[in-house]
Amino acid sequence: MFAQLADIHLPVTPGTDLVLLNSLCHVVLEEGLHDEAYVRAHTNGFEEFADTVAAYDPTSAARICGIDEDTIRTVARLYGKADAAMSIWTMGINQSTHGSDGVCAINNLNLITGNVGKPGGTSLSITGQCNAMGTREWSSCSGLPGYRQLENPAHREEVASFWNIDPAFFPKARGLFQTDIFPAIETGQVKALWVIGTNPMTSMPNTPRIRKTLRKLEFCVVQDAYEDVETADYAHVYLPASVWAEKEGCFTNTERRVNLTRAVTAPFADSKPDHWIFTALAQRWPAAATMPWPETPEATFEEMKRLSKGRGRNLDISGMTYDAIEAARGIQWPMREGDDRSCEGQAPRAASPCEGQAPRAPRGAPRLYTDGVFAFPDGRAKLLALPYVENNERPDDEFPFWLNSGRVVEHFHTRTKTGKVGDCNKHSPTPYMEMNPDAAEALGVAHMGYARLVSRRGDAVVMVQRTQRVPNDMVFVPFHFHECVNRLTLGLLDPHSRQPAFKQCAVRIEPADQREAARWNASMRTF
Amino acid sequence: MIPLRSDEPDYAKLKDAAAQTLNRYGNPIQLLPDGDNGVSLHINGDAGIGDNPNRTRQHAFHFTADNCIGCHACEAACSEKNDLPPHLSFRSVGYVEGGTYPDYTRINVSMACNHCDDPVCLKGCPTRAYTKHAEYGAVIQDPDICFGCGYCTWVCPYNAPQLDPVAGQVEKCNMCVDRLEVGLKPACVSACVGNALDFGVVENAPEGREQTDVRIPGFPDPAITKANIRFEHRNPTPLEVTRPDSAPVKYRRDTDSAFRPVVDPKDDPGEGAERRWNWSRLSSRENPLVAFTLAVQAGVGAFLTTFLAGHGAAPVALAALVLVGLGMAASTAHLGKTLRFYRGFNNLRHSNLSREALATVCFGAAAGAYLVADLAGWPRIALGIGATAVAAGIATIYYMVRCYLIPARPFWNHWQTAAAFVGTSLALGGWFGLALVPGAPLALCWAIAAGLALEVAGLLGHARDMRAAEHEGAVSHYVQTTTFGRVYRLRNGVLLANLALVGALAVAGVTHPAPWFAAALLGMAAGTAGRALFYVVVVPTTMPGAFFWRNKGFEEHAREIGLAANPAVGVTPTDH
Repeated sequence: MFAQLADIHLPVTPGTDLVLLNSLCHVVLEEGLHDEAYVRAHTNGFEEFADTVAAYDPTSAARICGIDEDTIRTVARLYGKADAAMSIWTMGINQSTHGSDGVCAINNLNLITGNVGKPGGTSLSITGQCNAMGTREWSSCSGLPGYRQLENPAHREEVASFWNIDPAFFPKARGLFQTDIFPAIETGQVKALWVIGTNPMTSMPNTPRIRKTLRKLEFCVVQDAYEDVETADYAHVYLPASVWAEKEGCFTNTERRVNLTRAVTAPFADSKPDHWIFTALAQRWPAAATMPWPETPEATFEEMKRLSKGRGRNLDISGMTYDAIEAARGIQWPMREGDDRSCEGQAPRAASPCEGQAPRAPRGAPRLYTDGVFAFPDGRAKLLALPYVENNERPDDEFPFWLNSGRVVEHFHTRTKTGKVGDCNKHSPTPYMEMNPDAAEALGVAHMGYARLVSRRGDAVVMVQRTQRVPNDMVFVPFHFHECVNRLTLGLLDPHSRQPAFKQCAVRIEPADQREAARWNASMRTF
Repeated sequence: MIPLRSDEPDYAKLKDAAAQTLNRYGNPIQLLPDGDNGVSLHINGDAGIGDNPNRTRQHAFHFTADNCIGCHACEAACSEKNDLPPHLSFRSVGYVEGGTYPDYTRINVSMACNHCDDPVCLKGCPTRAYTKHAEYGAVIQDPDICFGCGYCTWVCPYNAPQLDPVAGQVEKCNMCVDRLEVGLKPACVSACVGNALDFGVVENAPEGREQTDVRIPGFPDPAITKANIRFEHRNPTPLEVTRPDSAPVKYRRDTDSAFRPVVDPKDDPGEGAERRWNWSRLSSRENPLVAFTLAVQAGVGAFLTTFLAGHGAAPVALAALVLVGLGMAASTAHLGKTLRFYRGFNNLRHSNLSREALATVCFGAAAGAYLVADLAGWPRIALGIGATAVAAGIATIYYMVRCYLIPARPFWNHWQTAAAFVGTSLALGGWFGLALVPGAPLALCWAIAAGLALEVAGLLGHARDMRAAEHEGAVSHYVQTTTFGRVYRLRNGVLLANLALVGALAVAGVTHPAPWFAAALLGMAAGTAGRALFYVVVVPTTMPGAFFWRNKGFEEHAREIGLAANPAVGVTPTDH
């Protein structure tokens, strides 16, 4: 929808965003549109970066990324000459073998054009869940709370003394990334798994492989609000967890805004809030004896506040309280203890937290990096040299279509929730693909008929929606459905973030037995 | 009055500072004299009157198509506020699309009730479940009065009234008058994230808007009902836009920038221009109406033809009485709430359906009285009663025809409907007369021939006009000649053959019952198939649906394969 509302739509070849971004930087530098003073004062690594992007002239880049050289130049000039420019992206950039590189390339572009920390200029990643940011802040990605790292002895020491345990309790390096756990199960390195609120049987690429992997586990615990979550088929133990409205707690969204939900109803049946489950389990370990175990999420939040304090820490929430968050409908960190961020009685002024806000309640800090100081020892941002490496599956004679997967607005993740909510589910109650009408015509695939998709990993049957929304060498399939698009996806991992490249693989399209496909479709939709 | 939250967002508040005097149809926007603030709407038993300064002005939704991203927030807010089951929605977002990748345009249209100046739903409703209020100009329907006949869903060009097959009643958008009373915009508008949907006094352009247009691709002619909806749509549109649902309609841009419906064969290898039988799909939720119309037409026709031919007799009157009784029973079975059948006469002032029902009952009563008088041997009285029955019978057929002459269903809105109904009355009635009156006159034979000839003439004229039409009638005709193409041809062939047979018999003066009996069987078969076609192929002027939601093809498929058993699919297992 946004593409058609755009002044300029760049239908980039899947997986080549990095080439386009490098080429945009190439033109910006070539035409002197960069903010030289900003680059000199606030960044490192310019020479190596400039050397790398020099190879991405629009003529060469166009052949790889599919955007013609004139358009690349036009967009680069628009971006370079703008008083302020902003880049907003989601999974289209992230879920790629160059996902991290793509994000860093966006940061490169905004750094060299000085579009960081000023009104109207920023890099903004829209995350997929309300608390995607919060989980990273508070160590869900195998680290220590408050962006602290296990690899850092000072951090281990600091947190150990806070929790009253021996620093040796902590491993000296982070554990496996989520996506690396599955290969580790395959090799026998991991034998037990505790899956919390996620559904790899539907969401991970290459379903056939994940099925074999989960069957190999000697012990599997699934903790989820929905007992029928497909991964629970492979669980030895199921822990029923509460849904959001049955528990309280904070979450941080993409703009660093900490918000609060309070329980509006008691947990269903014998389900328990995750906080209760974690605490109850942890207390059965010997190491827990000396540690404090706050009984409520709010008491835990008080603990997080104390852990968030410290010089040079941006993630500082020590000035927040549950009540203040609720009154302000969310507060952006940093919000330090003693910060007077209340807008009451202050004239709203530019670059203040009250800018454009009604004077009402504490607001926190709406903008970071206004002073050009970044969270590195020398205070400078890093410009990164990011050469593009071609390493993913591409369409060929045998599998001539690009397969792109993604979200639709009515469903959340693997439909464990929205598949049961009629007002959401009715907008796409069965798996389908968007296919270009010309391609469909050539293959004799009917609008509202069924077709079979085949990749090197497996196959999937979907209903066909003919639409010019997609090019004639690509199909789009929502990822929400079990035994559907992820039976096909390859999902090579990004070298840094370890996110799978969901959005690029190759498939062919075959006619399906309509009656059998319909029967199968109905049998798969039992909830 | 509903309580206002202390931090009610500004965008949810109504802000009409001024209003024009007349709307674009020339009707006053102020619906009551100055100083008269109207009456309480008694929302949830509250006798209070809201303090909205524009309380007695006509309000309308304003929709900026350029801004709609199809997020469904308006539908969700509406369903939540009205506590609707998934298969029901007072507001729906459909779309049309055009162009070729990547020069592609999708136009989303969010549509609910347009609270028309001339609410055809109100006029059509036989139970008087609808009220057009001077307060806000809201058209509000009361499901507690409704008996679920669904006629309002036929006459509304915008698919606003929603027939709930589960509850057996119609419900619709109520303009959120409880929110208007306290100065808030309706729930759907307040939930719109794209600043596409707005609301206020009609003809007022919302803040930042310039257009108050009444045209958008896929939207029917607003003049039918003088709809109170205004659009802004400034983005360039493609020359042609298609619908994602199964309706074989697309819209083509005219020289005056209006979009007109044309046939879209969908290039579907399964459907296409191929002629098919599809006997099973001839059966629909309107089956009781096939029975009702045929039986009543036969009953009326039998009495009228024999009586006017001077052969009025008790057996014919009895047959007419039985046929009309069976017909009425069938039409009552069609209701969502059969025990409320007596409410069908509530709206004689406006509703052709009420008038049709009353005329049918009067005809049945007169036929019964005739039967009594004839058996009692009171020829004078019988003559008088018979004349009354003739008048009631003519009124029955007249209002029956009028019920189908509705602009929202262009396929029916044609003189062929009258030709078919009158023709069927003559032909079926004539056959009943021949069977029941000993020594029947040749006049009855000529009545049958005339009836068949009238039907043939109607079908010829209809086919010619529908082929050339620039409305959904052309689409219905396309469906009739493709999806049901073989049934259509067979029916036409049988009808023509029957006309030839009946004509030959009449000319030759053959009165032997055998050939007439054969002709009658052929006539009933062709008549039943034709009437079933009449109901199933009609394509209303409604808004485009989406790929799953509001897609008739998907609904049928979901029922066929059993998906509809899951309430979260939003399709009821049966449609009646």
